[in-house]
Amino acid sequence: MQQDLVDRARRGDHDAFATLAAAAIFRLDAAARLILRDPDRAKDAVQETLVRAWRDLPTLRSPARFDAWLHRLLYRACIDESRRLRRHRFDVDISPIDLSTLDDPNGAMVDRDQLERGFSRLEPEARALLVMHHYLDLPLPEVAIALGIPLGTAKSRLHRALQLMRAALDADARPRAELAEGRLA
Amino acid sequence: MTARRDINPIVADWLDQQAGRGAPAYLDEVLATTSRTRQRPAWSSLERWLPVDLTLNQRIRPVFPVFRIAAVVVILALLVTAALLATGVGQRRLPHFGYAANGSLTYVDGTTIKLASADGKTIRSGAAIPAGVESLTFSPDGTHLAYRAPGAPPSIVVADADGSHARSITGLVAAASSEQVSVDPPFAFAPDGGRLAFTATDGTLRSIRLVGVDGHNMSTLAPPGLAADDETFDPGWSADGQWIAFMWSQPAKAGLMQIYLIHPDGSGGHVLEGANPDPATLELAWSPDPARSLLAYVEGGDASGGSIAIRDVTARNTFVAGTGLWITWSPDGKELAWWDGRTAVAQVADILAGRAFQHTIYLYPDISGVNCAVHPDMAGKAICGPAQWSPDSTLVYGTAVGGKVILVRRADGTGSVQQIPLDLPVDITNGPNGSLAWQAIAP
Repeated sequence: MQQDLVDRARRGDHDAFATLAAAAIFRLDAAARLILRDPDRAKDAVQETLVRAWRDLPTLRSPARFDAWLHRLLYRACIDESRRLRRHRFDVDISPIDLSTLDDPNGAMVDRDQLERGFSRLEPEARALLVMHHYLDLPLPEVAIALGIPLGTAKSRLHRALQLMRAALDADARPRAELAEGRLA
Repeated sequence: MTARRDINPIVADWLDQQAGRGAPAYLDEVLATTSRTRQRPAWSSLERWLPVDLTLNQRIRPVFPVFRIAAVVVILALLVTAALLATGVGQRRLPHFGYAANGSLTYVDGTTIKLASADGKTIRSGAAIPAGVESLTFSPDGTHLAYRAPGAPPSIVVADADGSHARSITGLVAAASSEQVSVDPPFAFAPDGGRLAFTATDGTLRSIRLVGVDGHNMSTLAPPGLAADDETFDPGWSADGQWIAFMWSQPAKAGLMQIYLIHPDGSGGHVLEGANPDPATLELAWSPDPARSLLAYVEGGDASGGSIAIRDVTARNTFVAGTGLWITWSPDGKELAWWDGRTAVAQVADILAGRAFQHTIYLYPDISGVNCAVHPDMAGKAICGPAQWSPDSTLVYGTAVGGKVILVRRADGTGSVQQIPLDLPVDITNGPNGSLAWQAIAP
């Protein structure tokens, strides 16, 4: 079904492309927001991805590779956006830690914040790797293709990104445990 | 402890929660943009033409390095080719055979030199000439035209390519020295076009003369012991300019015919070694390759031809190529064509190496022993004269009997005979020997 739509879209059928875009835009938008951590930039990246997909679709040789190709376009668009973002980066004040979150009995909220903090510290390329593998559920070889890197490099980068995420959790967990034990304050 | 938990599901769950739910609201905006966007044609993408393994699938399946290397080599070759084409390699390419590759077809029309365009369709008049002009010969660079002008005695005239600025160089000699010489073709231009070798008759002696194209510095080349009734004729200038070869006929010695070699300055004269002193020696032709002094000649035989030999003047070796007559060298000096009832083409390297490779192409039907020029049933079907070569040495051609068609065939014998009509008002059969000259290079 999808291949038929891709075939038609390759031949210039815009309705077929609209169907494909509608089916893909949610996951593209979500992935872009996760990678870029900015909804507006994510929107720009997805728009760029879909416009390029439509424009270049006739050059796609294998319709079966449409999804992988789309992910690659998205990755490139996100990286381009992140580079633009870096060029226009400005400093902001860091809000003080809201210690009320420490009241979270299960630590779930704290974990989310810790993950958010750790994730934000990752480079966009590493975030993209985690998003594609753990959110889009792409097998690592597909992720490597989308990122344009060797499979071994993808594996090592994934390992390092997860280590950083784990370190963020551990680092933030230590003060919480120490606070609970009365060693801080 | 967090560190002891499996980080993978934690990250996956967190990403899933962060992603949220619900389609973004800008789909229509995107589709409005794409509907206004023109798609690229399929051929415009390099990835489209690359092996899939080099694009999307390169990390899924290991690619055998040879294929990858081959693909890179092909791409580089294409890029180099494109770059060469873009930088005008065509200007360095040998000119194609055909009308367009050659200069003017120049011929005598009564008392006017006529110049036909390369396609034979546009004809313009050149300079006025005396009636009876013959033996038109272009200089190697195509800038000058020599011909034999009638008179008492006949003289050599050298003119510009259109017949203008004509000057009788033997007439100038006569005026300066009171020497009256009659001239006979062929006229052999020096490789640099600065001098001419020709046969002069002074009284009863036929000798070889050299003269500058400006009419100055005439000299005589003669074997020692040249008898009064001997004849020397048919001079040919080697491509490196170092040697002049000509025939030496000695009637007093039972018609002995030898080939004599001499430097243009008159030194180093000697009878060609390895050749048979045979009264039936018919013709000689120097290789156009200046890197090697090879002289082809026909000896013995009869009107249907004799033994075709190649003499390496430097190495002093003689090789037999075949039998026949009308020998012509390819412009690159690598092949030799002759008539042996049809047309034979042989690789010179094979001949010199003692290999006998040659093939026959059918520019002539088997009409040996017949004067094909007056064979009306051969009109348009057979050439009747030496086979000519295209500038790139790939084609042989000649004017067909009747003079209205040029016959062309690949020198390697492949393909069929092609006919090129000549829209000329004159019969140019035997043209190269008479009233027509084909300027091989358009200056």
